[in-house]
Amino acid sequence: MNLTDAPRGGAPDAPPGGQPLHMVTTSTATLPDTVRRLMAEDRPLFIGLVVEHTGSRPPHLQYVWMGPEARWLLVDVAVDGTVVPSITPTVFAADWAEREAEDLFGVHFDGHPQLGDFILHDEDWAENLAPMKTRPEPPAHGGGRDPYEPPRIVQAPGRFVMPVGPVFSAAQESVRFLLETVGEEIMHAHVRLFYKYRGLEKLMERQAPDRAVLVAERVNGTQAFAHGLAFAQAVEALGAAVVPPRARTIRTALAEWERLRSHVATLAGIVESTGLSIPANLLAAVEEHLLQLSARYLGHRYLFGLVALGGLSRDPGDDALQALARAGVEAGGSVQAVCHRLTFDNSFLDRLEAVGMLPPARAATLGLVGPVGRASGAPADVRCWHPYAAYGKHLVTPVIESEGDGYARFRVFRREVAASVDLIQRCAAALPAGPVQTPVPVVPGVGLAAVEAPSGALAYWVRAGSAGQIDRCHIMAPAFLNWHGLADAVRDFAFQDFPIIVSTLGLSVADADR
Amino acid sequence: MIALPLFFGLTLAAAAAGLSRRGRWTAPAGVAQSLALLALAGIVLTHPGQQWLLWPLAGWGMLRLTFTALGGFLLVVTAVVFLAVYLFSPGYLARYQDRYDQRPLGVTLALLLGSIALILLAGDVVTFLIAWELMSVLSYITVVFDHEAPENPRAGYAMLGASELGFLMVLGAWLPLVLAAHSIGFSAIAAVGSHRLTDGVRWAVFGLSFLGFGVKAGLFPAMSWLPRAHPAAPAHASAVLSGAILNLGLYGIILTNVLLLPPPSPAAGVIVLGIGVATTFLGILYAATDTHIKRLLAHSSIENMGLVTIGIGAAMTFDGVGLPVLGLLAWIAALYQILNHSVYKTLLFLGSGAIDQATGELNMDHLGGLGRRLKWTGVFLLAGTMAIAAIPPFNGFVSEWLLLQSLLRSVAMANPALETAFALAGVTVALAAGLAATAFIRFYGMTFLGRQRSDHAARAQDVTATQRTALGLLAGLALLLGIAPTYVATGLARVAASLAQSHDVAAFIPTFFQPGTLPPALASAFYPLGAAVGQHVLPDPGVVFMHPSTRLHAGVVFAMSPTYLAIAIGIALALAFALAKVLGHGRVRRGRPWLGGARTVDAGLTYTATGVARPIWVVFRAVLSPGQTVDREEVVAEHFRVSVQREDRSRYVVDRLIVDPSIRAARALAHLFARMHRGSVNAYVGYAFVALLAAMLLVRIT
Amino acid sequence: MPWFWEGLKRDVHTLPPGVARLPSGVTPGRPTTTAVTAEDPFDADICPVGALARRDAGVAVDFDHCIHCMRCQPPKAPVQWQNDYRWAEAAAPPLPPRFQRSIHVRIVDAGDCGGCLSELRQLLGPVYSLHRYGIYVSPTPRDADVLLVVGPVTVGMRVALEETYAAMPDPKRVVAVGVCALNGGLFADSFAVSGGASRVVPVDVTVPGCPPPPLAILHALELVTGARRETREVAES
Repeated sequence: MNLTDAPRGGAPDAPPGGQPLHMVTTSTATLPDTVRRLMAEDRPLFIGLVVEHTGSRPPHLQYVWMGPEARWLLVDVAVDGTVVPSITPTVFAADWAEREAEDLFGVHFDGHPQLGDFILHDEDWAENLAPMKTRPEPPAHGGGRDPYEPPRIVQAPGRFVMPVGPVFSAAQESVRFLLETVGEEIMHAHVRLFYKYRGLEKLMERQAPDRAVLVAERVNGTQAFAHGLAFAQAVEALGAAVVPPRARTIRTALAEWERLRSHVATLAGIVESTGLSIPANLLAAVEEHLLQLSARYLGHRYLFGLVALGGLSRDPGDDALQALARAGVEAGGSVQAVCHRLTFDNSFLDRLEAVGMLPPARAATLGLVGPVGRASGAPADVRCWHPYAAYGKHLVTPVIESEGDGYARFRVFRREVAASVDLIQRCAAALPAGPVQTPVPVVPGVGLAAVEAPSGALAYWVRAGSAGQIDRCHIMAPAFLNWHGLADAVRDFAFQDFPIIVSTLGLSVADADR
Repeated sequence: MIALPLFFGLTLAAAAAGLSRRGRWTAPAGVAQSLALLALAGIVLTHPGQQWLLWPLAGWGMLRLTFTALGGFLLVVTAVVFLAVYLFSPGYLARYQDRYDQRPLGVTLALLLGSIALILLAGDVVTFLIAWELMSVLSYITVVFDHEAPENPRAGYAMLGASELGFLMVLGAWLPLVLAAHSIGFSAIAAVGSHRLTDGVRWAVFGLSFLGFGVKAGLFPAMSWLPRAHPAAPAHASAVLSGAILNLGLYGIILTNVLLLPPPSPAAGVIVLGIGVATTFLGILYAATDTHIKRLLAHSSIENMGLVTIGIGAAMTFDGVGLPVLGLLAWIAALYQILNHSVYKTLLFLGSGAIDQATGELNMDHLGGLGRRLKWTGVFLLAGTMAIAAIPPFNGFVSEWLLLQSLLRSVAMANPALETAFALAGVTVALAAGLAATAFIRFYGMTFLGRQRSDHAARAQDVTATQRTALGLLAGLALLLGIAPTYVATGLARVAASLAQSHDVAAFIPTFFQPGTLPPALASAFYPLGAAVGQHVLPDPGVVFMHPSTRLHAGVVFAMSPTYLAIAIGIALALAFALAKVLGHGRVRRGRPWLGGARTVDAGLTYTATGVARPIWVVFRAVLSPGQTVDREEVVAEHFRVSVQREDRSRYVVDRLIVDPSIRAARALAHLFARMHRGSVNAYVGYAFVALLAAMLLVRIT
Repeated sequence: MPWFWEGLKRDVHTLPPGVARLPSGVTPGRPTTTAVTAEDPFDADICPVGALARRDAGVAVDFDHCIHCMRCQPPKAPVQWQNDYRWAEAAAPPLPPRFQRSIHVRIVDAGDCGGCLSELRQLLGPVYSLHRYGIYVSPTPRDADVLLVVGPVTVGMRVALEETYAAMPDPKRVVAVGVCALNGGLFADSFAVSGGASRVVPVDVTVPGCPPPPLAILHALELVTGARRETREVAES
C-alpha cells in the first residue's frame, strides 16, 4: 500500500481518474511555507485533515481543501517523528482539525496554542491514549483525570463562567457551553463538544463498505441521506463505478427532499427560539408532514437504507417521486406563507437582526460552510463547485446573503427551501428510465467525495484495503467546521440571545461528534 | 441632675482608659460611658427645656446646654450605637493588634461620643460649633486609623475637606441669625429671627445651612466623600460614622430650618424633598451594584439619609401648607427612619467587621458560603438584611411604609404641582425599596450562601460571645421596632410634636380597642377581621396604624398593623413547618446538587456578586458608567484570543458630573486670574478703569 | 395576537386521540416473524445486524436489533412487514396509579445520531402534542418521573446519565428509546460506547426501532403510566 497515492476524487460525471485533483507533497519542515504560498494563490475552502497512523510507522497527514470547478487541493505530509508545525496561524479553519488529530492520533502540532482535552474528555480517558492509532486491541477507556477547566480568557472583576449543559431541559443534543461573563453579556464562549463521541471512524475500520454505509447514515440521523451518499460516492470513485443516470437523478431529488425537511426543521427551531410558538408549531407541523410522506413513499421517515453503493437500494418509482414533488410544492408554500408573515413581525426581526454577527471576512477566516457560510457571503456550495449526482444537469444557483447576522441565515434557509422544492420538481419531471444500481468493485486505494449536506460541505475520505474492507474512513462534517464559529457569533451578545444565535446556526452535535 | 456631670466625667475617664495598656479598659469604660449617656438621654427627654448655663461670652449671652426632645432622641440613638460598638470592638480589634497601637483609637472614640453629646445638648451657636469641629476632627482620626492602605488617608482628607467646607457654609448661614438676634443662644435666635430678616436672607440661610449640614449627612450633591471615607475606617468606627454621625447632619438641618428659622415658603420643603429623592436614588443604585461590603453599606447609608430627607421635606411642606397632622406623620416617619437606620446599619457594619475578622476579605466576589462557618453572625445579619431591605416583620418595613403613606397623602394638598413632586418622591421610595431588596438579598446570598469562592472562608471562625451579644442586641432591636411600632411611633410623636405644629397622634394611631373611639362603620369592618384580638393584653393605643378619611362617608385611607402581620407571619411559618413535617413523613433525601449532568462544579462556575448586579448595571448604565469600560485583547497565533482585560474607568456619578467639572472650572478660573497677574501695566490700568465704571454704574442704579 | 388568528385559520394538524385509522406514513412499519416454506430460497445473512434467523416454520425476527435498513423488505426477502406502532415492552410494573393522569419526563441524549431525538421533538410538536396526555418535559430532573434515554450511552455521557438518574426522585422509570439505547445498536462494538442504557441505569421499558416513530414512544409512556391512551385498533389506510 502506497501511503502517498492520490485519492480518486468523486465527481462521477467526470471520466474516472480524470478529476482535477491538485496534490502537493511536502515535508514537515516546508509545510507552513507551502500552505502559505498555496493560500496566497487561491482562497480554497478548508475541508479537513486526514491522518493515518498505522502501527509503529510515523503518522501521515493530508490537508484537504476544495475549490470551484471540481478542484481538490491536497497537501500531503509525510511526518518524521510526531511533531508537525501547525498551520492554524495561516488557516484558522484547521484549528479544530489539528486538535482532533492531536487528541486521537498523538500528533503534536507545534505552534498551536490550544491542544489537549478536546475529543477525549479528561474525566473519562487516560492521558496520551491516541485511540485512532491502528493497533490490534480496541483501546480501553478509564482514567478519571482532573475535570476539564477551560482556559481563563476574561480578566475582569467579578468574572465567572456560566455552565450550560451537557444535559438540557428539552429534546436537545448533548453539548456543554462554558460562557465567560461578568453577567448579562457573553464575553467569551467555550464550546465543549464530543460528549457524544461514538468513535465511528474507528468502528468503520475493517468493515465491508456495504455495512459501513449503514454506519455513515447514522453519523447524523437527520441528514442520513447526505452522509450515506457522500460515503457511497467515495467508494464509487475508488472503484470508478458509473452510477446509472436514473439513480443519479433520484439521488438528487432525495438529497433535496432531505434538505427541504432539514431546513424546515431549522426554520422551526429559529422561530421557536424567538418565542413565537404559533408560527413555530405551524412549521413543525410541516416538518412532521414531510416525515410522514418520506415513510409513505420512501419507506423510512429519515431515508435510512435508501443509499446503496452504486446507486439506490430500491427504486421508489416515478409515481412516488412525482407525489413527493407535488407535496414539496404544497409544503414549501406553507413554509413561505409563515416566513412571509414573520418578516413583518417586529418582535421576530428584533431578535434576529444584527444578532449573532459573523461578518464575511471573519466567516472566511473561520472557514464556515453551508447556509451559515452563504449567509456571510461565502459562495461555497458543493453542488455548484463539484456537481455530483445529477447536479451537473440540474444546475443550482447558490443562495447568498452578506450581512452575516441571524436574519441573513434565516433568509438563506428560507430561500433554499424554495430552491429545493423547485429542484425536486425538475428532477421528478425528467426522470430517466433504467436501473437504479450498478455493482461497485471495492478496489484498494483512497476515494474522496463531497456532497452539500443540508448544513454544508460534507466529505468522506475512504481508504479500502485489499480484502475489500475499509482501512481508514475520515468524515469531514460541516457541523465540525461551523461549530468553530459559534464562539465568534455569540461574543458580546446577551445570555437571552444565546439560544437564538445557536438556533440560527442550525448545527447538529452528532454531525460534529461522530 | 447628676447624669450630666456623670456622663462627661465618664467620658474623660473612658478617654483615660483608652490609654491603658493595649487598650484593655477601653471597652468596659466605653460601655459605662454609653450607659451613662442612655441615662442622661432619659433625663433630657423627661425634662425638655431645662438649661445649664456655663459661662458668659461678653455681650453675646451665655454659653449653655439645653435639653430638647430632638436632642434627647438622638442621644438615645447614639448611646445604643456606641453600646453595641463598644461590646463588639475588643474581639474585632485583635486583627489590628500587630500593626497598630490601638490606644489613640480608644481615646478618640470616647471623646467622639462626648463631642456628639455636646452637639446634641448645645444651647448656643458657639458651643455647637466648637463641639462640631471637635467631632469632625475626631471622626477624621478614626477614618485614617488604618493608614497603611494608601486610599485611606486620601479618603480621610476628602472627608475632612468636605466637612470643613460644610462648616464654613454653616458659619455663613448662622452669622446673619446671630447678628439679627444679637445673641448666640438658640432660644433667642428662634424668638426673633424670622421678624428681622428679609426673605432673601432667609433663603440664603436655608440654602447655606442645608448644603453645609447636608455635607455631613451625605446628601446630594455633597456625598462623594462618604462611600470613600466610611469603608476606610475600622468596622466599628464605620458603624459610629454611619449610625451616629450622619444623624448630626440631619440634626443641624432640622435645628436651623425648623427650630431656628423656618424658610419663607413651602417651596423649601419641595427642594428638600427633591434633594432627598436624588440622594435616595443614587445611594441605592450604587449600593445595588457595588461588590465591596462596606462600600455597599456606605452607599446604602446615603440612601437612608435620602429617605429621611424626603420625610423632612414632606413634613416641611405639609407644615408650610397648613396640614399639621400630615406633617406630624411625616415627621414620625423621618424620625423612625433615623432610628431604624442607626440600628440596622450599626448591625450591618459590625457584621462586616465580623466577616472581615473571620476572612480578611470584604469583596463579595471572593466570599460565599460563610453561613456554614459563621452561624450566629449569619443569623443576626439575616435579621439586619431583612430589616434594611424593608421586609416585615423587621423595622425597616414600618418606617418606609409610613414614609410612603405620608407621601401618598399629598392628595390632601389639592395642589397639582406639589402632588406631582410627592408622587415622584413616592415612586423613588418604592424603587429604592425594590433596589434595596435586591441589593441586600445579593449581599446576604453572595456572602453567606452558596459556595465558598475562596479559601478565606474555609478557615473562618465565628465571633466571640461578647460580639454576639452586640449583634444580638441590635438584631433584637430591629425585630422589636418592627413588631411593636405603634408604641414606638407614639413615643416618637412626642419628639415630633416639638418640630411639628400638631401633636394629634391619635389621627393615625387611634386607641383602637376603646369602644367608641372608632366610627361604628369602621369598628364593624375591622373587629370581625380579628383586629380586636389581644385587646385585653396589649396596652393602649393598640397595634394598628389607621387613618380615617377626613371627608364625608368616612372610610379608611390606610390601615396596617405590623404587629398582627408579624403574628400572621409566625403562624404561617409554623404551619408550613408543621405541614412539611406531616407531609414529608419525616423522610429527607439528601442528594448531590443537579449540575446539568456534570459531576462536579467549582465555585468559578457560579454567579458572582458582580454578575447578579449586572442587570441593574445594564439598565442604569447611563448613570453608573457610560462608555467607561475598556477591553484590551491579546491574540496569539494570529487568531486565538488568549486574554481579554476589562478595565472599568467609571467615576462616581457625582464626581463625574459635579465635582470634577467644578474643580476644572475652578482651575480654569485660577488660570485666568494667574494670567491677569502676569498682565501688562496698561492692562491693569484698564481693569481698574472698568471696575470703577462698573462701581459707578452700580451706585447710580441703586 | 395576529399569530393567534393565523393559527386558528390553519387546519387542525393534531392527530385525534384514539385514531381508528392512522394516516399512512405515521409509522414506517417493521418486519415480523414470517412463515416460509423450507424450499424458499432465503438467506438470513441479508440482515446486516443478524436480527433474522431461519427457523423450521419460517423466519424469526429479533426486532430488538433491527435497524430499519429495509434490506429484508419485499420483494428482496419474503419477510412480512406490519404497520403497527405498539413496539414497547415493559420489564417493570407501571408507576403507581396516581401518575396515570400526568407525568413529567426527562430526556437525556446519550450519544444519539439525532433520529430518536427528532422523533421525540415530533412527539412534543403539534401533530402528536404530548402535552394533551398530561405528559410534560420537565425542565429539571428533580421533578421528573420518567427518564427517556436515547443513544448508545457514549463514554462521555455516562456520568451525565448517572447524574440525571440519581437526581430524580422515587418512584421513577427509565425508558430506553431506540435500538441504540437498548443494546448499542449499530454502534455496540465501538470502543467509545457503553452499549445500551441498561449498562448504566436500570431500564424498565424498551422501545426498539431505528428510530421508533413518535407513536411507539407514546406507547412506551402508556406502559409506564399504565393508562391506555391509544386504545382502538389501528389499520393502514
